[in-house]
Amino acid sequence: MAKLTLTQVSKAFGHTLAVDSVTLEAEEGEFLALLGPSGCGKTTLLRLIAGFELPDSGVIRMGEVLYAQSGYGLPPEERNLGMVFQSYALWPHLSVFENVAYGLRVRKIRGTALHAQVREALERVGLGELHNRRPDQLSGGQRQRVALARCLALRPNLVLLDEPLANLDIHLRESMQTELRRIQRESGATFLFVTHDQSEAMSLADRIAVMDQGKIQQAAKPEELYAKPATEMVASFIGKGSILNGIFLEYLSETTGMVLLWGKTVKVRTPPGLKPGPCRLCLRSRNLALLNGSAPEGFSGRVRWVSYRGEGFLLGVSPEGEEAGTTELRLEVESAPPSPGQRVFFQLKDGWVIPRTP
Amino acid sequence: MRRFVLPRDRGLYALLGGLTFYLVVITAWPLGRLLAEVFLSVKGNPPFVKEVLSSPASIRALKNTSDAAFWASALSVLVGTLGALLVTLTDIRSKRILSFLILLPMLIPSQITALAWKMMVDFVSKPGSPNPLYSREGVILVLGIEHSTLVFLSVRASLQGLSWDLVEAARVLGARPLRITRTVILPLAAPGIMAGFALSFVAGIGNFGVPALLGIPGKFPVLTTLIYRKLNGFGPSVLGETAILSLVLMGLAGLGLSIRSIASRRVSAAHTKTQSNRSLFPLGTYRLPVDGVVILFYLCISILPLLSLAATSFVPAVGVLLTPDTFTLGNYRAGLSQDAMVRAFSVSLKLSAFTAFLCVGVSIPLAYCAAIRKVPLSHVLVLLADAPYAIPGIVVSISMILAFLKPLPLLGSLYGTAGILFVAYASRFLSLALMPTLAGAEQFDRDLEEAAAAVGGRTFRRLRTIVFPSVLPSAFSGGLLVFMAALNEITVSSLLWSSGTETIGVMIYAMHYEGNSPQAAAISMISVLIVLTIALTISHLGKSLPEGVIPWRS
Repeated sequence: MAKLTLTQVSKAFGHTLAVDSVTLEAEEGEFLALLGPSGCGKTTLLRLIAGFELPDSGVIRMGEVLYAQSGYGLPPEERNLGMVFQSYALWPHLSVFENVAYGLRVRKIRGTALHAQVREALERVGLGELHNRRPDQLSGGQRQRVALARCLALRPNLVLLDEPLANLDIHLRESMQTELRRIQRESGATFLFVTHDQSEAMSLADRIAVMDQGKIQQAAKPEELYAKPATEMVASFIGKGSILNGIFLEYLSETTGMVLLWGKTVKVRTPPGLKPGPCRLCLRSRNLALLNGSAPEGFSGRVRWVSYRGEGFLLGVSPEGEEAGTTELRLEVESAPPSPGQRVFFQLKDGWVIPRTP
Repeated sequence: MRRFVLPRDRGLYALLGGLTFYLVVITAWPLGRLLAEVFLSVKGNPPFVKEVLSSPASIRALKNTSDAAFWASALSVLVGTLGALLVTLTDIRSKRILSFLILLPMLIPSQITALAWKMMVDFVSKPGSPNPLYSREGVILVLGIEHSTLVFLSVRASLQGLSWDLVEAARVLGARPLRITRTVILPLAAPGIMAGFALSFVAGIGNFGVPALLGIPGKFPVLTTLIYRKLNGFGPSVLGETAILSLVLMGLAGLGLSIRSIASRRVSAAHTKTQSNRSLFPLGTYRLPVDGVVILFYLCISILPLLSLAATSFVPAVGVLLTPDTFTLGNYRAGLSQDAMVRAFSVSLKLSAFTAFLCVGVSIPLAYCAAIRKVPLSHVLVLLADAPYAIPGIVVSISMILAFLKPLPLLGSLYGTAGILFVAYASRFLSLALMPTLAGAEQFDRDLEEAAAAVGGRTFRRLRTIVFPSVLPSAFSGGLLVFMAALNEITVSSLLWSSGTETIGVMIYAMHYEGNSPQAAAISMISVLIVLTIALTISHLGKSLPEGVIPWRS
């Protein structure tokens, strides 16, 4: 079992804590995305796993192999992992064949075995023909594939990818996503993928670890991140949720409860372990629905702006009530939007109480 | 984005006209005069040209020049590349000290370096036996060490620009540092190494101080010393002959310079400006021994010769060991009490100061035209300004004699006066002031000037009030570089000095030649101290200067 385990890993540069006691696991064959805004420490975490940085404290293991422990680090060249760089890092003075063959040559594989393995790796990424080219004769997508082939040729158990799609244009990025997924399944390796693009992470990964200010905020399946964000950062970073103050009243079942919001009680989904009292509520734009005409049972608010979004309209509404003027909710409507300044009524279809208040 | 271009006003034309006139007088005309001289002899008197070129002395000097420059450059590449690799790739300790030790040879004038090495060897060799540095090998060794700094700077720049992902990608694949150095780093740094080799080669063929001090007594003549001895022995009557020889020298330099420009054009995709955290190669258990050996090695080649020089300057005669009993300040007292020496200091200090001022004064408007206004013609002017520093100094001297031997209207002949030294220095060292000034001007925000133009400021007013203050710090450090180089200059002054206008470099050489080595050492020590003080001043100023202004910083 080659399972990647990080336990309480920390790394500081000067006075800034780039990685702050991170505990994280990746199962064998899992596609795990490390998602976060720039400067959140995700690249440092990747470099810690690769061995280019040493942790100040904590333990990094890959299966039985100890990668790093405070003060000790297995050099990168002995970790037997693959890495794809954002710049692809193809050696410009070597042909595609020699780029892919490099790691095999290091392992003293020669002759026909070398040729067979390079060919196989290139075919796996769909580049059988181009082995005589130089990297500067390739397109961005082709370079990306060569970079992948180079690390797959060694059949690593773990592949680290640092924003590998960031330098591709949008169309290429989508097709590469599908390719990446296929290659990962076929190779059976664990992929750890750093990105700041949440839609990329959502569509590729089995699981996403959201990182902010050096800490793992939440590591969960994409749908769970969206439906049950563990922190306010995750709630606002994933799918732009609005975060509101409410008062938790009581549980209705194990997973639902009543919350007092702007003088009205609403039913929302809840995590376990809440105590009655102030809470933070995460609302998505599709959790709210406009009511027809004047409907006193709903909430009221004023439309601030309307913006056309292709499939429908997005409304900015400030609710009338305790927090009037300070909060802005987003609502989706399919057609015939009200105009700015108009008073509207809406109801809450769903919501989620964020478990921890920082 | 296309920028708003200021109208080509009259002020700018006046500026360009003035600069063009100046550069034609001090550079284009003398160099053109040299070319014309050689061209005319080829056309008018082919047997003479053939005789000069086929004489055994010329052939021997040409062979020796290429031989010494080639092997010295090979040595420079070895020493300089090793230093650059250690400083940029590994986690070796005391990088600051190491960089300083590697850069030191560049700051010390070559005749003093040669003198210092000779004295170091004197301390260890048997008294009476000829100094082994008085030989081909001695010239190669000292030239190679002296110019290793050029290779170091070139390779270091190349390595610092290297995209570090390329190295880390190899590490992830399991390659060890030595393998990565061989298969990834060295191939990608090859243009930098080649450029360094070419620079060192050009510097080697043009060098005068080392072959003059070690090669002349060692019966190892090179082109520069051959030209020097001919002109010194026979005076202007052999000008035609030396002009042909100096053109041969220029041909060799041209070869080196074109290799360099080919190499620097091969800046590949492997280079990037943005650098993230670099994971250096850990020396691990070897760190302590590597530290020790490397520091010791560079101490031996950088500091030990200077210490020998210092030791010699404090003893009464060469070969006497420095002890409390033998210690004397007599050499300093005797050296400085000579009228000729006092005069030489005064000549060199004045010449250097005036040259520095003039070069800064020309550099600022030239940089303004080239880097800020980007006038097309100005690139030709920059090329013209850089040329005398790129070619061997002795070629500049010959062209100056050719151009200024005949009396000029109003001024009379400049030959035999300090005037010709001044013109030659102004021509040769302009590049040293211009390079940092251009680097500073590149950083200048054009909006500032356009804002001044928008409220009605004319070219000269803008130049004085807006451009000048912001470019001055860079230009000033360029001026210090000029001062430093001119103060210890020997190549140009050895041909152009006359009685009463000896420079420090000429005096040190003369003293050594007359056998008064301890006094030569004492004067050299004073020179070295002045140079190091200026270098420290520049480094200190450098903290607030833009990138590229200080040649030894990256």
